[in-house]
Amino acid sequence: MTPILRHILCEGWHSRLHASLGLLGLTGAVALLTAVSLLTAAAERETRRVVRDLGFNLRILAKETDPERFFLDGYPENTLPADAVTRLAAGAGTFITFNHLTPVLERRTRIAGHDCLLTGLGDTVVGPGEKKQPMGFRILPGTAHVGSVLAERLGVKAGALLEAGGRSLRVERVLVEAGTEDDVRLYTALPDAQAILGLPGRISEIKAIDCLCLTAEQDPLPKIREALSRVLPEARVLQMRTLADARAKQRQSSERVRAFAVPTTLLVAALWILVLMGINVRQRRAEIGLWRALGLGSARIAVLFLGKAVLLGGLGGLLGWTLGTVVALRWGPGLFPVTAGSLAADLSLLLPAVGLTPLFAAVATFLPAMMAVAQDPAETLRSDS
Amino acid sequence: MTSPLLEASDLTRNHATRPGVVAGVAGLSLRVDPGEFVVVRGPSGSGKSTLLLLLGALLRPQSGTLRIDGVDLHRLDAAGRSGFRARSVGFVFQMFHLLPYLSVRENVLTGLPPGAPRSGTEADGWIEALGLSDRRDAAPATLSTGERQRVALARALVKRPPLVLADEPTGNLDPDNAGRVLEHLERYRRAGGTVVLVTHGPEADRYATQRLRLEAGRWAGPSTLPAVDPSKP
Repeated sequence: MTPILRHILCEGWHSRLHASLGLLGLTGAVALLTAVSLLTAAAERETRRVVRDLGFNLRILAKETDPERFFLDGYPENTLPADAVTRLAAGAGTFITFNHLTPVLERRTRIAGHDCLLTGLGDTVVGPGEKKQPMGFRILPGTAHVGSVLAERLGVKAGALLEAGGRSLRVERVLVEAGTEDDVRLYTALPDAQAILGLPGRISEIKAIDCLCLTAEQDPLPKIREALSRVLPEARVLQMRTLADARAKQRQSSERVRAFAVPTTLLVAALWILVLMGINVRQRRAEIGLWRALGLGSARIAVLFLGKAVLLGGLGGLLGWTLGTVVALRWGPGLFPVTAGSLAADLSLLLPAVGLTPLFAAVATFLPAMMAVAQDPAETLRSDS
Repeated sequence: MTSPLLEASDLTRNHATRPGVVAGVAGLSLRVDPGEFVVVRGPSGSGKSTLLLLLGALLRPQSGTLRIDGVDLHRLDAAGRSGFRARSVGFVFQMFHLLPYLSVRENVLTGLPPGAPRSGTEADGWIEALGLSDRRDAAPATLSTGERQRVALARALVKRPPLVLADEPTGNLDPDNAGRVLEHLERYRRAGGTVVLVTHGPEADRYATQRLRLEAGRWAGPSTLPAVDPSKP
C-alpha cells in the first residue's frame, strides 16, 4: 500500500463522522438516482401498457370518408387498398410519427339472423428492429373472438363452430362483457372478414398510435397530417383527442419526474460534498501546512483530498446502487402493479454508479482541494490549530 | 575559511496580520556556518517566525537573496522549493503539528522525503534515541506534550537534514522536557547538523554558537552572553 493511500485511509478512519457523512451523501444520491431510474423505467413500462390498453389514438381513413356517416356508424363507409398499410410502413419517417399500424376492415352485418359488427384485424406492423407486442389480440385465420352479448344470442361458447358468410369459423374465445359495442362484435382475421364481406384486398382504416413525444403545449395533429400526406395522400387521419391526451400526459408526467429528480439530486449531492470537503479542508489547515513544510508539492496534497473523495465515491456508488435497487424492488411493485413483474435490478446502472460517482465526488471536491493547495502554509503553521 | 551553510542578504518580507498592523522582517542579513546552533530571540511580533519560514522556503522574500546548502532559493519555483524542503530542511514547531491519524512511528516516517525508501530503520533509530520506543505504535492523542515534541523532533531529524529550523520548540513544554528537547538538538549539532532556533526565553542560550536579537523585524544586536565555540564537541 502506498504511503498516500495509507494516509487517506487512516485519515478517513480517524475522521469517521466526516467520512460517514460524505459517504451518506454519495450513497443517498446514487440510491435516489438508481431508484428514480428504475422507477421511471417502470413508470414508462406501466404507461406504455396502460396506453396500449387504452387502445389506438389515430384512425387513418380513406380521404373521401364522410365524417357525418363515419361518426354515426362508428366506421368508414369508404375503403382503402390493403397495401396502404405496407406503403405507410415503408414511408420515410413514418415510425417517428406513427407506430403499431394495424389494418382493420369493419362493417355492420348479419350472422345467423343476428345483427353484429364484423371486425377483421390484420397483423400489426411496428418500427424496424422493434419487438413490441401487437396491439389488442392476434386472431388466427379460421378463428373468431365473439363479444359477450353476441355469443349469448348465437348460443356459442369457446370451441364451437360458427357459420358466417359461407365460411366456417371456430370460436377461439368469448370476450368478457365490456359494456360497449364490442359486446356485439365478431372479430376475425382480416382475410376472413374480407371474404365474408366480399371486399377482397380492401380495408376500412389503419389504426395506429402517435409516437411524437411533444411537450404539453404542442399540438401533434398538424405534424401527423403533414407526415401522412407525404406517404399516403389518398388518406386522412383523425386523432382521438382524449386518448392521445391521456397518453401524452402519462408520458410527460414521467418525464417531469425524471427531469426534476435527476438534476436536483445531483445538485444537492454536489453541494453536500462541497460543504463537507470545505469543512474538512478547514479542519486540516495545519496538516496542509505541515505537508508543505515536509516538502510535499501541491499535486500530492491535492491527491490527499481528491483521493479521499474518489474512495468515498466508489464505495458510495456501490452502496447507493444496492440501496436504490432494494428500494425500487421493495416499493416499485406497489406503485406499478400492472408491470410489477418486469421490475428487476439493472446491472447496466452498476458500472456508471461505481465508475462515475468517484468522478462526481472528485469534481465536487475540486474546489476545496484547490483551496487546500492554495493555503499559505506560513499562516496555518503559525495558528494554534 | 569555511563556506557558509546559510547566507542571507537583505531579506525583506512584510505582510498584513490585522488591518493597520504590518509584521515581518526588513533588510536582514545572516551567515550560518555548518555545525552552528543559532539562537534568535525577540518579543512577540518581532519577526522571528517570519524569518524561520523564509529560511525554510515556506515564504518568499519580497527582496534580498538567500542561499542554503549551495542552493539559491530565490531562483527556485514552487516545486523546486518543495524539493529543497524535502531534502534539506527539518522543521520543529511549537504546536508539534503531528498527524492525529498516524502512529508515532508513522508520524516519524512522514519526515522522509517523498519517494524515499521507507525501511523504517532510521525512524526506529530516532524513536529509540529520543526515548519513545515503548510509544512507537501509540496515537499522538495519547502522548504527553513532551513526548509529542520528541516525536516532532524525530520527524525533523529522520532524514538527517543539513539544516534544522525550530520555531519555539520548547514554548509548550515544562522545564524538564524543554531541556531534553534542547539537549537532543545540541546532540544533532555536535553530530554535524546545523540548528537555527527562534524563541522568547533564554533557555537555549547555553547551546548557542551565535545569538541574535530581533526587534520589529530588524537585528537589535547579539544577546549579552558569549557564544559557544562550535568546534567544541
